[in-house]
Amino acid sequence: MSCDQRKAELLALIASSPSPARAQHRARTLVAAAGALGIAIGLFLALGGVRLGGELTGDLALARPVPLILATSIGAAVLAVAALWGLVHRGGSMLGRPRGWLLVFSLLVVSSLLAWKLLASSVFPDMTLAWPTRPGLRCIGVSLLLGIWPLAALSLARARGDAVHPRSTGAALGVAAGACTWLLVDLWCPVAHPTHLLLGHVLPIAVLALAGAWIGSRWIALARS
Amino acid sequence: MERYAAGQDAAFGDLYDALGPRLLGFLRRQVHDDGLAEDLVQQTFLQIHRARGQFIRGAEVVPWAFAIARNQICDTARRRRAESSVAIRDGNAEAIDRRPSTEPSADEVLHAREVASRLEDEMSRLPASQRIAFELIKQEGLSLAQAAAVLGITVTAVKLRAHRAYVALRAALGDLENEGVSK
Repeated sequence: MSCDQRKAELLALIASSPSPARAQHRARTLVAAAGALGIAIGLFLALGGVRLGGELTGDLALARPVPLILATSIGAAVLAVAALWGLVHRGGSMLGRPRGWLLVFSLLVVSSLLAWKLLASSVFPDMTLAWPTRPGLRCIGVSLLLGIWPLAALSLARARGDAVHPRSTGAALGVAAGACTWLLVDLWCPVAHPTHLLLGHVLPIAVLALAGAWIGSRWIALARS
Repeated sequence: MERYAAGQDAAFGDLYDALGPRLLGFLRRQVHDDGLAEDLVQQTFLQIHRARGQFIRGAEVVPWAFAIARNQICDTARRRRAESSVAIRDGNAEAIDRRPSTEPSADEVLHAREVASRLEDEMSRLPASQRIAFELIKQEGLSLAQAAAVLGITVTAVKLRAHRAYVALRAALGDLENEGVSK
């Protein structure tokens, strides 16, 4: 087959299977992102929205001071934006950021979220106490419930587009989705005990990262020929 | 690619003209089967077509296209392994025999064929990781950073693989080099 014949055949193939151009893809991504954000915020509000505190034991209740809520949520928001930049933005290359970058940045984001929450809470008295009734299981559920939507939107934006390391990309998207979810869960959950944070807030990010890696191998990887 | 990503379908022809021959050469050297290489070029362009909406403004196209092509090779090799069919590099000698020759003189042709054949043989003996790194840099002219991005490894690892390939080829083809010097 000559070069021209091959080209003609390919042009015919492409004409028969149109693909979205950049503007269409961007519009679709924006709709998906707005939808995911709307669903996550809707669920967050349905679960009670911002909660100052609760019953620590039968006769003792604790409430978070507003400055603490502001400090932890602003810090979490900054780190969520950093996660979106470092883990979702591809750094100007169609091949994305290197796998090592994604791994290191993911670990940095998660450890910074945890460290900031603990540091800010430790400044205020009793804010890092253990809550016997709140080991973190509800927070796992809430984090996953809120986190799957941004992960789905981010995965849709990257569908069938990663030629080098789709699993790592998917895992990084999972961490970014988890970092964004951390902000909402932080507003919802008044507990800042280290064990609770590890179980209820950090573990779901790891689960989202694993889910992202799985999605990456199936959905973000290039389609099999 | 910029025009094509922006929605100008007619720009695909230009993209094909610019990238197609390079990809075909690369894929031919990897799979040693003209028909398969042509299929893989088509698959590579189809993937580019499907992902055009995700193309980043100002991004480099060549490393991306090579990464997709490499992906197609791995995919094909995996499929062939799964089917327990003939290895991807079978038909090496036939592929070499089909190559056109300018034939300036019988001796030169003989020598060139011997060198090409030896080079192909030695290249085929290299581990795939070293061979691809070597070809991307030495034959396709990609920078170390571009080759590293295509292969999804660090620049140091690419350097190491290409250097190992170079050392292995040099050791294997040293006698030919000596012959050339003596001639």
